[in-house]
Amino acid sequence: MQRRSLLKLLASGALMLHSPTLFASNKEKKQKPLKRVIWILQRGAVDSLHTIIPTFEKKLTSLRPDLMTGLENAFPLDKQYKLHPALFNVHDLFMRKELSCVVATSTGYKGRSHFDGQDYLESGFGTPNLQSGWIGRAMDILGTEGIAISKTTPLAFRSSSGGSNFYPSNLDTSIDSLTDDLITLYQYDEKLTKTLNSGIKIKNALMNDEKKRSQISFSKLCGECAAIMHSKPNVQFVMLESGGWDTHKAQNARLSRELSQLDEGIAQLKRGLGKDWKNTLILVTSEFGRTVRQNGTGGTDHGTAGSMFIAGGSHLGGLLHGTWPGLSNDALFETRDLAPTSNTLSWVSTAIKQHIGLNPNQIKAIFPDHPTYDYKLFKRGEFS
Amino acid sequence: MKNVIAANRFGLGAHPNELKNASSDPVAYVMSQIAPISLNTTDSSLSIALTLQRLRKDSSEESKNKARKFRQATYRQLSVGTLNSAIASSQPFMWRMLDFFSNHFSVTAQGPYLIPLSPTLEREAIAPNLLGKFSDMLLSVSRHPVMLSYLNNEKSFGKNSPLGKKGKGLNENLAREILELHTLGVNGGYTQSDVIALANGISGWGIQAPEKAEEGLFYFRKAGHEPTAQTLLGHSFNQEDEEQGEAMLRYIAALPATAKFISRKLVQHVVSDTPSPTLIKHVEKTWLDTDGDLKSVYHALVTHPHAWFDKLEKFKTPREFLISTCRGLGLSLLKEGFAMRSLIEMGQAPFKAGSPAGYEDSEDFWNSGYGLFARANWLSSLRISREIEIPELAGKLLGSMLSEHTRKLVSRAESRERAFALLFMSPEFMRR
Repeated sequence: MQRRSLLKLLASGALMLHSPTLFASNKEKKQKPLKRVIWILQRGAVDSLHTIIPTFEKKLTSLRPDLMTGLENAFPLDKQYKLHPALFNVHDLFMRKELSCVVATSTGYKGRSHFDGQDYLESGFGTPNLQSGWIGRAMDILGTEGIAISKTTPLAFRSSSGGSNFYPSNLDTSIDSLTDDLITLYQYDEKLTKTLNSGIKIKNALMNDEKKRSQISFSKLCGECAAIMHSKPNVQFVMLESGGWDTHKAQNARLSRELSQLDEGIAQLKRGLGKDWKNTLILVTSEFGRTVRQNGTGGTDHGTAGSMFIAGGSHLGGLLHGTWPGLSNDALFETRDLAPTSNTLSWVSTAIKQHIGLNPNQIKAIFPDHPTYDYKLFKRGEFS
Repeated sequence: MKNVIAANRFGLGAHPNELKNASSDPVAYVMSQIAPISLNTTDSSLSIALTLQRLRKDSSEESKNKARKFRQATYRQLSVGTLNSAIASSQPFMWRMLDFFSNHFSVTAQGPYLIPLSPTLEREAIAPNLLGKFSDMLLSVSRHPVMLSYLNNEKSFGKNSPLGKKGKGLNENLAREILELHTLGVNGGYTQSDVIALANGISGWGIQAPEKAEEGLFYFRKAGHEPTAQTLLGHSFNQEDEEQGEAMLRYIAALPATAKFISRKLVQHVVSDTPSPTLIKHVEKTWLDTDGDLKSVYHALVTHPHAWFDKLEKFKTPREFLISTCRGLGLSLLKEGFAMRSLIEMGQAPFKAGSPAGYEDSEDFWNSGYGLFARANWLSSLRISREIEIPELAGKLLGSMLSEHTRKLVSRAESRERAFALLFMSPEFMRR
């Protein structure tokens, strides 16, 4: 009975998107293809120095001695930056000039609360606003549709007119990282620790038994997401959430795990989108970065500037954007965090303006507080 | 600290404003709740039985389907109705008592009769007697059609009764469970001959055909009642007819073994799996002094300092976990389907214990690996309003019981959803 119920529990991770009233006919031959945007929000604050490693920084090993192990096979990028070894596919895209990295970027949010930081990023304003999100505004202005693969309506999808489309799924992508958090939560409670461990054992045993049912993972989610986009050609904006980035302890193992999920997920998206890859922009961002110094538990704490990825079939990639602020004490923000030298939301604004081909008024209505940059991220007017 | 105990140990989990209300005088806060509670009783056992009867007359496929739907719908509607009342109540202590006695007199919703009717037992026989004498509750329950049907007394006839002489016989089931589970307890000092004596005493206690019933469904079938005097626990009962069983039940209810058994069970339910013996003694003495006056028993429990120790020892059942989570989030009026699915997945469907002993009431039973994941999974199915600030809510629900460790983890969680899961999965929320 217990086993059956647990199976049900795991199976409830199967994708259950309720088919909405979307018309799937897209027969007008001459029509320009829809320029699509996939936003991957990494909730929990990613350690950027562990993702895009500035190997030219001599101080890195003394600032974070335990975090530099296992990086021997990191992929070289450019300007002596290296990419975490779990990011095989991301590196491949970089080499194909379909992906760029931005270093030392932040939303402008200066606090260190996950919730507030995510609100900032999702609302896309220069000051916190819980009423409206940037994807919601974009959908309003363009009259297009979007899907958030999420259990709740993310703030990013809110808009004044409420015209967002949102289709929830029952997917739980974060059960592994929740388990990690529960282990910490119960560390002073003997009984709960014992039962949690027994639960984990059952879960793992079932996972091995039932491989097919068990693949509740971000990469799997990305594969499903590509399939949904394929079947719903009118969907322009897609938001994916990924968790498990809040690596206060045991960062090496946890980050490797989450980064390989991300890496495999991006590969799945490209594979699943097929020809439509050319018309798709992927943005990968997190609410903020993490401390430059490692903490006492093999991890890092909440910081300020982080990094982001911009990718897509028509993106002019293979570049490293952003000015490096340095790691000397004076250069650090509040002597602990990487200092921001550019704004994440301005990068988002720049990328979607060029990718979709928005006029200045349109982009201003979406991002009133974040002027676009002059970098050329896309060739103009190139459609498949 | 005491306000948290008032709202959680004695209540059903704090509403966001409840700790504030309970803080000036936590004991008085609980005491003030000890007053009658009301339940909508328009769907009485009689009206449900009448509908069942009507639907049964027509044997068409369509009518059978209708009947099936009616049975399930009634079961769900009444069960969830009670649940929602508990979530919304400002007298959570009384709803806790209702749940306690409902589980004490556990019935299982099985078969076409009991599926729709089992939720009526607590409404009709327990809730109205929550503040009176235990003997009245015991009598009401033992005469209720749901209990009579569940433990097969409606066809139990004495050997020397007219029906017995025609070959119908005694069924000991209800009599045994009254002694073993409802009153004296398994070690309460009764023997097999006492079981037979009580079964004889209540033989002929049955269920009226609904169309003939005027007030309730109880029916004393004189032709099935054992007409001889009985000796129960060394005491002789020579009353006529249904008065014999009634006198027996009142006698058992007043015995010290009953006071001892239920006092301990009640204290274990409210306070701890291993409560202070002094506290049990105190409650038991009050029970004996007041002849099982439940209101006095609650007072004795609530006012005793040993019931207010700081450590949270009682692990919440899935039902308590669900109710307290909903109270904490200010959710009310859960939809039937959602509420039922939630309780089923967490392992405590209403009236489905499958045994007259009811659901277990101990941490050893509920604190399981599967149980934890089921709770986490259930939490992840809830949609949490963005307006709720989880770290702030943590303080409002757990007050000074919120550990620094949990507070830190919740406020540093990587997302709102994770903060929410950690708060409600925390040791101090799991226990009361």
